[in-house]
Amino acid sequence: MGIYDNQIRLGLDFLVKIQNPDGGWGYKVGGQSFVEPTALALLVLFHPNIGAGRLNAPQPYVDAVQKGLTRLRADQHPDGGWGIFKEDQFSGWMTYPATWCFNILLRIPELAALYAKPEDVDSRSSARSLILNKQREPKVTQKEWDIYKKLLSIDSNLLGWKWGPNATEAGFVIPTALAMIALTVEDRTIVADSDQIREGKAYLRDRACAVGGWNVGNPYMYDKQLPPTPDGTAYALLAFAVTLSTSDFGGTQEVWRGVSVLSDFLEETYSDHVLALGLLSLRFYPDIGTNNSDRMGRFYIKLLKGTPSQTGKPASKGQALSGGWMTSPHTTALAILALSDNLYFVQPQ
Amino acid sequence: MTINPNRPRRRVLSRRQFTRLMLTGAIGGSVVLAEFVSRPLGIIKWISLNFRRLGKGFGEKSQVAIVNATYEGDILTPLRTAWEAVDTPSATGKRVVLKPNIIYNFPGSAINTHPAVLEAAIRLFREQGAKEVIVAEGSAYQRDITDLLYQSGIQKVLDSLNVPFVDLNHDDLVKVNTKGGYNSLEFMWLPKTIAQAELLVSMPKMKTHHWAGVTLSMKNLYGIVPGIKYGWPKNILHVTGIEQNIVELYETMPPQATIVDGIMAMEGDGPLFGTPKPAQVLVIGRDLVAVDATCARIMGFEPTKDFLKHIWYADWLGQGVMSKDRIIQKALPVESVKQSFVAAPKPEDVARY
Repeated sequence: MGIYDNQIRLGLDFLVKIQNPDGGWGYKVGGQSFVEPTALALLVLFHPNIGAGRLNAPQPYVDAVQKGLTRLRADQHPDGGWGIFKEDQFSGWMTYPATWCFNILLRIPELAALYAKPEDVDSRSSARSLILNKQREPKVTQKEWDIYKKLLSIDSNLLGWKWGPNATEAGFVIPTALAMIALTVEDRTIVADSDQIREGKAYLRDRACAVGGWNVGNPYMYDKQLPPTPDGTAYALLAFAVTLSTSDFGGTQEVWRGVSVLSDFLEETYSDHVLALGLLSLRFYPDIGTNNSDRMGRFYIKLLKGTPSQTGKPASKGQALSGGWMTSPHTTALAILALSDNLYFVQPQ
Repeated sequence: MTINPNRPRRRVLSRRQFTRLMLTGAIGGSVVLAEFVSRPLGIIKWISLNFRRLGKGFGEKSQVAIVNATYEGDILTPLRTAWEAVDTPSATGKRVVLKPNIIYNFPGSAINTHPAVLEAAIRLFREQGAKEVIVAEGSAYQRDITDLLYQSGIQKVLDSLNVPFVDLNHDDLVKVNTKGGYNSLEFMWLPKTIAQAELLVSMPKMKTHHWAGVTLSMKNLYGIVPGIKYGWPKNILHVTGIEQNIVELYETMPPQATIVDGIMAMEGDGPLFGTPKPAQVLVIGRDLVAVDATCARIMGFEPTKDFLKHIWYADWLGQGVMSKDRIIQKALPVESVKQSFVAAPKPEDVARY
């Protein structure tokens, strides 16, 4: 039994209840289905102890997973990628969470036996190929490198992953982190030390803000420092946690500073979403910082109970009686992952 | 000389045939040349644009109102005065969407639309009988802007007036065919909240901008572009051309009015690191080109083909007017509030990032 099993069960019930008739989930209850929240909701429903990832799971959970996977399979493009939703013809960054979801499905034998289809293996391969060959940012010329180094203080020879399909787009922190996670969970022992993932980590280190943490991916704008943001920092730290390998020993200063920055964000935040995403990331760094266990305990209480705001109205509301957070399937999925004792979603076995 | 009837006749072009041939070739060549010259618009669009530009010369002038205001004083009264002084659209019975500029929160800076201006606008539209007032923004640098709303003081206004906020980055989306064809996209995915607005009001901060020169009511439209489709910080719009995307958004999804917060503006290294510059004005109008041109003049700049190009381009396209002669200034004249802003540095192009 995990300490938050009851809260997780409530959250799963909420997700099942608000699943769209088309099988997907949106960013808000009743909103259009998008690939990212659908993939994350499925990851959560795969929970091996509480969710649908076991024999004799509650039928509503089983049905929700089957409907969700049918939606996700139908939304995949012939090139192996996903747009933001069915109607979006161009593959982009939502390929990463979708691939993450299918990798977990195929990696855990019980899950695969219950829900995978033979064609999922080929679909996953074509998604992997797209991520590695089409979704990384293009190389720059020496002249461009010089300009970017001078004006933005970045090493643009380190290639990150893009948001969109445009051939000339740059890589940014959040898509890079998500792509690294998606690729690595397929087989951490092999992929985590691959050239692409090592370069991804070098990219993230290079894009760290001067004061610690990450933002969208611009630590400097010309000669001025841009500050970190909670989302960029949380995704980058999650990517480091998932892809940690022998090549990481030493040189992880950016990670420790990022943890400190993210902890400070969580201390101050009024956002359930920032708390959910931040805790999902910070849980992998429990032994960092002074009084960190106290802080983590406080953050979990905030995530579950909410925080009053200065205006008197509740700001972060915590887990609602309905079982969800912020009436958002996306935030609810992140919160459940943050609460889960079982790390099947990053360390599938 | 006798003609041998069995000898094949030489085919010789008559002068008339030759002239016809040359004329046909010239016309065909001109069409091909015009097609190339008019790309990416295409010849038909280009011709219709020129008719629109011609028509604009005979059209009505645009009205722009400038009023003084301070954050500490009553903003609603001068705002109401300005709104009623110009030919702004009615808000009665309409779903009004206010689009402020909320990016980052740097203490002591003048980055975001001030909450006091937003509050006055909400009160004004409720006073005018709006069916619903919504505040909506799609910030460029953060996926979740809850904390930014608190830090900027905007959440306090939303709470006290019970106004809903829509995060345009994660809103439901609708496919909207582009009307201009200036950014080479046939369509864009845009937030449903914006598409369904019955009165959309752009509420930017008056600021300098290192790439666009100034960021005012038209550039503020970048915030309606959803991050989930176009990424953060929406750089694909910079890569494919700032001016082209600004005028495209304006033509495709035009706000019907604008309220520019120029009370505490920004000069120098905008839009993030500039210095606060007190201009103590609100600038209001329904022609965003005319309002932005007026704001530029208040800042001490004149839009040209080479500087503040998006204003010039929008004027050229007939989306509005920028010439002083075609703008009827209401309330205060530009000269009475004119300042001399330090321009943003114009760095080398790093639009990719």
